[in-house]
Amino acid sequence: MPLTTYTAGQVLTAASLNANFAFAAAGGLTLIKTQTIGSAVASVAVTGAFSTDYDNYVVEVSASLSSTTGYLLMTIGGSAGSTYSWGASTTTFAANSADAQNNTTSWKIGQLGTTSLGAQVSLQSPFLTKYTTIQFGGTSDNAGIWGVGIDKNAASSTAFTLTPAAGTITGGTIKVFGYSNS
Amino acid sequence: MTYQEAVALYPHDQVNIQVDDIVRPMTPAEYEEFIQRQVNYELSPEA
Repeated sequence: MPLTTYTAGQVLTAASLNANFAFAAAGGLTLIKTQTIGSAVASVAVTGAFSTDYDNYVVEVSASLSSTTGYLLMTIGGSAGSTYSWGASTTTFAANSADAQNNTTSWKIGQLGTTSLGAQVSLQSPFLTKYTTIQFGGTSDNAGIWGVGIDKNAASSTAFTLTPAAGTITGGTIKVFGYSNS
Repeated sequence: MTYQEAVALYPHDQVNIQVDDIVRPMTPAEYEEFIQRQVNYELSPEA
């Protein structure tokens, strides 16, 4: 049942109100955490991101910038070994190319940019004791990358870390959303 | 980038580590790892 919008003078019934509550409770994305990125940081760890409340997540990085160009890397807390694999397309906006790594130490989820960078990833099952899968896309003022990957480590993670492959990042926001399990 | 170039570009007191809202200076070991990462990093072709 879609969300009911009431007008002035309309009778508000319990059934209608409860239907709206049910609609909200079953809703899609819920904001779990907002993290402001500090100045000249070589890595940002976000704790308490994943839990039993949700199986699947979206992480969005916006309005940040970096000290140099390169890639933005991501790891999840429960996995510190060489179990990350991914494949991606990259672009300079003038030409595209392909990139991939198997059994490495992180996912390459975004591009660093000295005036702009943003990225969004979808993660499936980071908290569950299953392999975590990822779909990612990230863009800077000079390049972009988009692709898919997996962490072949079934350990449960509650946190993740973003690391610029070179230099530091400054400013912007990381938001973590959870998909309703219902 | 050489080790010396990395140190000159990123002095120890100008790079930090962040965990949630806490932004702190790097320990010597963390800074050494960071500098080595700069030295080893290969710029992407499109970067």
